[in-house]
Amino acid sequence: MKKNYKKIYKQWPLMATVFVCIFYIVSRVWMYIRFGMAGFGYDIGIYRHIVQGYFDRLGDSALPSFGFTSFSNALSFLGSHTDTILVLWYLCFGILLMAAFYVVVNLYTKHKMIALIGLVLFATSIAQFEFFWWYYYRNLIALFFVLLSLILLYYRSYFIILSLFVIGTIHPLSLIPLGLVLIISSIFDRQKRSFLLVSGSVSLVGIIGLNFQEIMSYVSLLFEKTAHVSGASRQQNAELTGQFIPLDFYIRSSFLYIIFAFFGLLFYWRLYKTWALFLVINTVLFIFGFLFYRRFLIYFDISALFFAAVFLYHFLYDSKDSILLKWTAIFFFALMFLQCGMHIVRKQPLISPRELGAIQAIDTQVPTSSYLMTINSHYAPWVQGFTTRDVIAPGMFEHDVWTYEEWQTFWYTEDISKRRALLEKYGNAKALYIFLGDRDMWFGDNIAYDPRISQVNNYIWQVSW
Amino acid sequence: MASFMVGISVSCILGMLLLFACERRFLHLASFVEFAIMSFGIGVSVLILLFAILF
Repeated sequence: MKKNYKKIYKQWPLMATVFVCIFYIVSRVWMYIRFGMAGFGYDIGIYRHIVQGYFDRLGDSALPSFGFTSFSNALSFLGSHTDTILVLWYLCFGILLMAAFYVVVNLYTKHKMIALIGLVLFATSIAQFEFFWWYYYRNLIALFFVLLSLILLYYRSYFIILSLFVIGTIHPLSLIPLGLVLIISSIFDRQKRSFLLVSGSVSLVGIIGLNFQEIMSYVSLLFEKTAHVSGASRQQNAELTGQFIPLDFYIRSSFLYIIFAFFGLLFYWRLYKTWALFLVINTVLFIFGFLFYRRFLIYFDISALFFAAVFLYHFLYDSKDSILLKWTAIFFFALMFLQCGMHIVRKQPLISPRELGAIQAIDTQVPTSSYLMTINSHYAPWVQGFTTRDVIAPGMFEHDVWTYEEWQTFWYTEDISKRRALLEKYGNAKALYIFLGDRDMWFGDNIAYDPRISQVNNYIWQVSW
Repeated sequence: MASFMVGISVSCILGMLLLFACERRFLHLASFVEFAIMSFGIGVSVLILLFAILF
């Protein structure tokens, strides 16, 4: 009995790894299993629209350049259905992120135990869960390739050209912190200089050459909106922050390991200069409110997890004879799992499966050549992505002709003629239907007395010209 | 599911062939997980590069 117990005890790192992997995979599929497509965040509708639309018009030079479609078109060409790309491939990248992070930590620290601690922290990081759940597909793919780039950088493999190219094509923003790390490394690290200059130059030429139109649109956005979000108007501010979790939420959710990350950086930055540089650059980009700055929290968190793992390992190893500390460590890790688990279980989707089902049924209920209006930008991405109608939404897409003040009039006026006059701006050549989600039912009361707006079903109203 | 498996297989095979052709040292240096991640990543990169060039 004692022999078996000792045998099992020796295998504990392997068992811990398996447990963490299972926990991580469950955490990533949990929302999808519970709520279906509605279980993902805001952007899934937009991506659905893009994936379908761009492949249907493959080769059409009139389409605006969008690097992500090189990825989605390739998969569609190989036979993947739109929903397969949106769900299975997204889950695949999400799960591979965990493996990539483990590999990177193991490579740079040359220590499996630090990698295991890093794996635990990564799997239980609420920030990483939120990042996955928000459905920033391009950002997720870019993060995988950032980690792959770090692997290829370690081996000084020129395949890094490919991974840098992918990052610059799919999500150029993610190239900024990594690019800065590589540039600074090429200045101070003589051994890697020629390798970095060659691979960086070739990938940059490839990125600009093959994505020139898209890169120029980002550059003009940079100069138009100023590089700092504080220079943007209030209406644009939310979008230009990157729309990820705010700093206070991040600190609350990461307080268990962020202090260890700080001490890890303080004591071990010399051993892991690349990672230290990565963390500092992302901190600076975030603090100074660089365009879409909240997205740099994701990379900040990755590097914080690295240093937290390093520090925790050395701290626990140096105090390994202390039974009290052993139990404290077990309690700490248990708390990490508990905190993350509770957060995931309590998570509610932005849209209910019933609402999404109603949106998906619209194509069978509303004529093909109709306008479909949603009065709430909250539902707009799902209406855009899960129907094939021309969507009108407040401040979104190409069909909206009203100003913000006109939308406010439309929402709140009790004057039927004013609402009618606004609707007539869309002309009466096309039928117009209005989708109201569960959040918009108050508007149903506003239009109940309009004789020209009739209810089709629980969620659809028809405007009669 | 079948199309997903096709996509994964094509990516991994493409990546492995490239690694075998250009970076044979990884066969000895890298662990299985490292090799798998690199194969998949490089395979997907090649597909993206191909479609970026062609379309």
